[in-house]
Amino acid sequence: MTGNEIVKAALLGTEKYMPATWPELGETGTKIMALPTGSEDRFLKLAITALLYEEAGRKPVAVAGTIPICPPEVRPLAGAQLALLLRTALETNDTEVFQYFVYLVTKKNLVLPAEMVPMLLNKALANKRTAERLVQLCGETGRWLCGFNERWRTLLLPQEGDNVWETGTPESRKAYLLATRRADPALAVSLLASTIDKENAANRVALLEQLQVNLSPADEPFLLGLVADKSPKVKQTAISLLQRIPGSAINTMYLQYLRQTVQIKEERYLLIAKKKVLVISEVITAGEELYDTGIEKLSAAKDMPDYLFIIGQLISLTDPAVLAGELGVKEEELLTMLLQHKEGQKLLPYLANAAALYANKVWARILLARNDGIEIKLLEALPETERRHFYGQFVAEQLPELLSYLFDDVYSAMDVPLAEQILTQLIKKYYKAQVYNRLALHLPFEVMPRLNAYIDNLRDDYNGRYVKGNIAGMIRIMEVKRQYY
Amino acid sequence: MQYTRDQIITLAPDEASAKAGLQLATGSKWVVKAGNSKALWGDCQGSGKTPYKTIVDLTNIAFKCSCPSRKFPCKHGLGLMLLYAQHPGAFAVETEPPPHVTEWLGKREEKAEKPQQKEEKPVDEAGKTKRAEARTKKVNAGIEELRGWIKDVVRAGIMNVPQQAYQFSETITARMVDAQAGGLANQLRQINKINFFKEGWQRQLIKRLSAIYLITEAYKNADRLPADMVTTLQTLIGWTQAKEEVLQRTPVADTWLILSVTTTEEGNITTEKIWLYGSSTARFALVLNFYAGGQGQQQLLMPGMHIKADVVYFPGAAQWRALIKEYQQVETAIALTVLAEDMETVYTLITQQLVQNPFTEQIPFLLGNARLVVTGNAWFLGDENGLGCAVANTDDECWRMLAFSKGMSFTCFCIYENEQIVIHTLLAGDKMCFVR
Repeated sequence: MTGNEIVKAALLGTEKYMPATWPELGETGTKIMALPTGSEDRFLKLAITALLYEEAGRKPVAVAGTIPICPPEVRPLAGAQLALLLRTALETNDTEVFQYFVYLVTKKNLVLPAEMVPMLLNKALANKRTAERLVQLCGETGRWLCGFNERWRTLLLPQEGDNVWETGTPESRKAYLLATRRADPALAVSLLASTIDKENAANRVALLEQLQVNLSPADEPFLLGLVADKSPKVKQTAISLLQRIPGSAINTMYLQYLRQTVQIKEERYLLIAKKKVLVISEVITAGEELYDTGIEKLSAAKDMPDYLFIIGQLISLTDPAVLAGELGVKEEELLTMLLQHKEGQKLLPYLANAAALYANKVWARILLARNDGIEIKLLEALPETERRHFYGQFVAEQLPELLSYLFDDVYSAMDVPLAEQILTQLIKKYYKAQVYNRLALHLPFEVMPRLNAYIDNLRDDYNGRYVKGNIAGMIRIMEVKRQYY
Repeated sequence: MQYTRDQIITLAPDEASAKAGLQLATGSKWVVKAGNSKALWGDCQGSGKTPYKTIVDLTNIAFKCSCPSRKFPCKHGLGLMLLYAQHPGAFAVETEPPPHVTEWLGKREEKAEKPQQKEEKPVDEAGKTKRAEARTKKVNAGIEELRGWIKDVVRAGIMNVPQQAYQFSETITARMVDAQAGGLANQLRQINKINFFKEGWQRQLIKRLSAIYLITEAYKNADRLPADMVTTLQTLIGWTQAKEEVLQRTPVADTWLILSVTTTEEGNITTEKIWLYGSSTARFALVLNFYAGGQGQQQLLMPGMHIKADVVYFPGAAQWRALIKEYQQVETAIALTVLAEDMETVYTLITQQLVQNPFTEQIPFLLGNARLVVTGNAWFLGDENGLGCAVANTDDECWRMLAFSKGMSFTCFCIYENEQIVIHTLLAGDKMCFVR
């Protein structure tokens, strides 16, 4: 009551309200009230005496409940050096280096010291994509702490509940559909079919695009239903998927047209020997139904005749193995004959596209061996061990795309010659700092002298300074990496 | 040198410098890196052609760098020290430092000895008395004005103060500065720290105003008070005590643990508060350092450091403010005497302190066998008897402390201030967690 009385008098002013003394103040209160001074003086003395009495006489409160002790860690603790490097990267927002050390700690199945756990859990909240991995690094301490913190507790919940498809964000729904498509293609189609009418056009396109994975003839009925969609973009997306399904009505139509226009003939040469020759009919016999599926009639390039342009488009959407079978030749034979055709070089991009689209290893190997960097997606047709022989041809023209193949999840170090080739290219063009930083984690230590030489020799203009700064950053990252290599 | 990364980070003048220092703690940045038991030195390749020459005095932590940064210590000094803390093996051991290092170290040694050689100037006693009288007159006039202002405020009521919170005490604060009552001006400035948007401001404001009034009342009746209390009141009003005079007092020799180092900025002044605890005397000491503008820190003491030092306390009633006369770092950790093992004792200590000096702003204590308890969003510091109090630390700090303690009991260094308890440091075994 004392405190309330003081506040009341202070708020209203002693002119309007002057409290009497309180029994708790005893004789002191009485003495103050008896002072022959003004009410303000008496009030101020009364207030400070009462407040100090109250403060000095305060007692601790009963604290209900206790916190159970954190269970011991099951997995070994990361060493001080590794933990320190990871912490420094986290505190200095050194994203690429942080991700690298997270990878290392995860790979070694270690947990991080308890002091680091709160900041790691906060980091996990900020990026849900990597949250699960970070929570793993926090070990038992992390799980224990999450039990007391509502925000962190969400990190332990299963990532996106069962109803993500119904209630998730567009991004999480896309991710969910893609994951379902990978695990159970038919289920993904039925999921999409159940809601497609309620989606807006942009969502319909975005979700349809997820069906590119594991495309099969079983998808045809659903996709055919979307060919009549009122949105041109949805229609186009559905057709582009149908075009790629071997055995679909559209794809079969393409194959039939190719069989009519592309023929393998035997020709005699040197009188006694026979040679297979590929002949492409220059007469266009395609009906409107072919063009309705998105195939273009007229070539925009002067040196590309229309008949060849149509053939090229159809080849690019046909599985090379199926086409070779239809024509009664082997895949490599077909490719060789196509390339030997008088107009064959013009078909090269289409051939590469078909090989990439249908992951045809035979065609991919032959086309990549030409070493002309025609289509980087051809790399996807080959296993990783085989790809590295062909990386060099893409350095000059398609470095950003090549880096997406090189920046793997296990931070593989690249070969020295390739690294040097990339560095030469890197100083000619300018990339974002993140590219330099991530690259540093894949470079072999042998290129350090070369990086140092760049620092000494690059020009001191604006661009030179930009590259120098980034190269200095790469050297720093490589040094950091070497501290725990 | 056994400085940890966290200790070195506390030396950084701001977060940006700490980050930059961490980034510089890699060997590639340093063209030269060498050291011995007394110092570290290195050449850091910056954006220019000439590398920056950085030196760290390890005997009595100090930094020197040829970079143009006005921050102190600069990122290069921090980076060099951090690199050494992480990779001492990367440094060449050189018993004979290069000339620029020897020269700087020599100057520092010379400077440290200089105060002793200072010649005593003859004091103009008459002038001094005259000046003191004139100041007393000014201060007295200021105090009368302040008392009148406070009375006016309580007569009219404080209901409308939040609407003009900033201007509320602006004029009277300036008047106190003019009246050479800087201490009272500082007391009035504390009003600006009250959160007028949070329930409870009324109590805080009236307590502050009535406490200032009590200072002036006590000062008017100084002849009836003990000498120590009079000194305390003079300090609170604004009389300062010359360092030289304080240093003449009897020192307390002990091995001290630096429990916390905090800095606050107000205007252009940075105030550094260093709390020490004597291992055998079980006494706290508070070293206050004030830095203006870009002035560098004088004593680079890091939390967790043990120093053997002669500490001289300022005169005054039951207070901890002190000066470190001279110190030497001790490598081995020392055992601490914890005076409070439960919350009842803590509150008794608080009561005793307020009885001796009701103007105490901060009351330090070490509590053993403590635990953190969280109930809903509220954090409590509890003892083994199930008693405790709410803590005023931020949520982030509390989670850090809980992670560090893992739910087990610990010893903590806390400060009671504004009727709230703030935990500054946790000690568990040989590990320490510096919360602030």
